Amino acid sequence: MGAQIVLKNVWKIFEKPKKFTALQDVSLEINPGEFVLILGPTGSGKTTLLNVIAGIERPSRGTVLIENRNLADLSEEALAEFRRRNFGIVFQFFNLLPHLTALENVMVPLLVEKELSIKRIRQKAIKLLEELGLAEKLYHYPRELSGGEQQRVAIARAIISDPKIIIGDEPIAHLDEESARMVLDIFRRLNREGRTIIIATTHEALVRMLQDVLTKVVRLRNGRIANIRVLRRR
Amino acid sequence: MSRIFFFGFRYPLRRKVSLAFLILFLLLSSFFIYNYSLLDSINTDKLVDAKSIVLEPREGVDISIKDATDVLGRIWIKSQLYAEVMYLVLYSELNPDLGVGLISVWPVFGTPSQTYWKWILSEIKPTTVIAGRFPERFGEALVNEEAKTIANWKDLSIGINWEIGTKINITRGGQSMNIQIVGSYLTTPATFGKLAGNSKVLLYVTPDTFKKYIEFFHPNAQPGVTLENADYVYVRRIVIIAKGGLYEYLQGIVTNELSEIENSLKASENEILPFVIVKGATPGAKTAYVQAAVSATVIFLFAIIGSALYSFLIVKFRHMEIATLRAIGWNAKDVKTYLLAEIFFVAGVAFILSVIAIYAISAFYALPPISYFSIIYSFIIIFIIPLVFGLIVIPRRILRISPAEAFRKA
Repeated sequence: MGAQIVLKNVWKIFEKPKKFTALQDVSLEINPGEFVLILGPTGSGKTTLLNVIAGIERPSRGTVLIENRNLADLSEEALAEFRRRNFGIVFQFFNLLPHLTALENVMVPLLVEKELSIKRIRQKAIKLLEELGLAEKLYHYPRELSGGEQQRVAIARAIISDPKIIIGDEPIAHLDEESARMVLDIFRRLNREGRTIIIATTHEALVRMLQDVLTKVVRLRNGRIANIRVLRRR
Repeated sequence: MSRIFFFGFRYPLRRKVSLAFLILFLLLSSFFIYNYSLLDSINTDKLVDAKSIVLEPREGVDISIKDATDVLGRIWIKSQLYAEVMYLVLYSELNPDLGVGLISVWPVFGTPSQTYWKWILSEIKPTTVIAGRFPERFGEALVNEEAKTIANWKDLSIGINWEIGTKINITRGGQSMNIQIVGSYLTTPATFGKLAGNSKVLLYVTPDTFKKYIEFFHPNAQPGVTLENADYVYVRRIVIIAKGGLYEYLQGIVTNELSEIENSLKASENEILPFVIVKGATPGAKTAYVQAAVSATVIFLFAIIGSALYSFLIVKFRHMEIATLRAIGWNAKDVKTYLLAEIFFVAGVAFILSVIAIYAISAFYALPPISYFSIIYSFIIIFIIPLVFGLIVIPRRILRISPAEAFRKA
């Protein structure tokens, strides 16, 4: 089976506000169903790498292939649609829309899918929130939820469009221990269901916490891949 | 598109900043509609003083409608380009023994609705309504407080304990009619005299009520006598008003130069005999057009500034939200639709509420009649301008927000 994500000699240079090279000659392959941890200190380029993989940032140089499609060939609009269909994103600060309820937040990604009825989207969102233990919180606003609950809502939002790849940027950084464990369990479950999971973190402890499922640990330093450790093959 | 659009309505419903703009637009719209209508109203003292000509019969002359018709025709020919409203104040004694008189206004042209009529009546100074309101519909009357001192009216049987809402039933010759007292006015010495004939109690009624009274219930009425040929109906005044707001002025329908009409009437005095001009136009008075134009300009500038600010603030306050939506796969067009929904909602609700509020307040406090032009103009400045600004500003600002910003701390 071919790699699902291929990065070939990827560079990302930011010109503003000051010239800064975030990624330098990064090459990486991730197969379908892998659980990859990207480790590195703050400023090492983890988030930029996730952005490049998800097509949020275009690389300055190099090639990004997702499911054999070169992201450089896609227009901004096509890229947005491609991202919606293929990626689920979990943010460090949850990024829930504060004026929407948990249920409405989860529905958001699919609202732009014209072929799906609002009733169908709603049913799907309710089902996901129930699966994530939030059946009682459907109509709560983000401010009424704990950090762990907000992150579970964010995960539900990330997976409502059935993406093949889920990326998480420090998804447990702002959670207490119990909530963090619960969120990692959800990632485990999603991985068991066949989804590719890529998590970026500064916390070394995650290697131990996820050792049962991790396939690769990619260490970044100053925008370069310092080391790739393969734990198991998929 | 519509799904995202309607989903966008949730934001303004749940955020205080949107509510603040809704209130701002609501106040702007309400202020403009009210202010313009006030300027547009002939009840504004300034306007009446500046732009009305009043003719009254010469001393000792009683003039019927029929006699006045020829004079009116001549005046109309001279004033049709300028005068927007011309009306007669009619008077008839209902019961000479008790001194009960009936008074009304007979529109000649330019008085399309009863709403105007109540403002015309209020111009008959110094009559002041102290309770209730002016009659607006057939069968309603305004009565002076003096009536309380008269125990029993021969024809009206009103008694001394009447209050607003009291109904008087009159039957004569197989015809019957209810008159309901809807308001009362304060009697002043100036209320009587020439305007009131010999009557001490005046009932202000609508033109329709007046006509019906004269034709069926007047003590001196004869079969077949109509309002136009009844010799006991007197014309007490002719009032010519060149009013109109900015809209009428721009159309060239009205002018402030009512003095042109006055000069013309003076130059051919024989044509207006047996009337005499008791009040002429005031040259150089501040015009409604200038005031309306200033009001329209100020409100326009406020709307432009408010709309621009609103469009910028929407993007500023929702920066992270926009970045997140784009990161999770919404394209710029989807986000634009979503944000424009807020402006559509806020501006639309503000406009609708302002119209409802102004109509409600107008009905309750008897404010000037609402000008339709002010509503249309308000719709443009409160609804269209913010949307246009939104369409110009929002898409450009959205494109400047990278979805990558969603990964940063808010």
